[in-house]
Amino acid sequence: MTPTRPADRIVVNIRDKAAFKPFIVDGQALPRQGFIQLDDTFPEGAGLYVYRMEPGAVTQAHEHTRVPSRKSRQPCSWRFRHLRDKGARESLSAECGVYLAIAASEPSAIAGRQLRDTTLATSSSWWSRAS
Amino acid sequence: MVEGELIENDGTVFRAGDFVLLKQGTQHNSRSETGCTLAVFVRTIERDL
Repeated sequence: MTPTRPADRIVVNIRDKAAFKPFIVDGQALPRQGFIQLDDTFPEGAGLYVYRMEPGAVTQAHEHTRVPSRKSRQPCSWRFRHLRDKGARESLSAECGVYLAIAASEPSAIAGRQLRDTTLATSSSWWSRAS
Repeated sequence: MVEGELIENDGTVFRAGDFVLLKQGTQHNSRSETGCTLAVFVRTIERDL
């Protein structure tokens, strides 16, 4: 049996309130709720994660989507609308089936707080800066 | 549902121990009056409405 590498074992504790990150929609943190991403092979907000809602929390209305094929690309209108509005354009990650915004003409758009709060900054293998 | 209680927009209530599958194309939002913790798996980021 092959020993499990430490990096391959992800352990979180749902009692650790500090481990929860704010859930960002259109650049804004949803109040009284947060998440812990477990599976780092998915972008944040996909794969396996723990979601915590404090009393009175209300989630963003959303649709459970299908994994898009390359033939059914759609405009980037999900969590990255605010980036698109700042000059970002989108691409499709074949690995995870999630649209990712790629900053095209405004480097500030990818250096901003909004992007660090979203998937892209922590999923560097899934995005690249356009020249 | 790991703990607490979650109320769907149509009034459905999920409690600790419930294991829920929402098929693709379903739309909803949820609220919690008492607080709750969920373990979630989704293949793609959900589309905000």
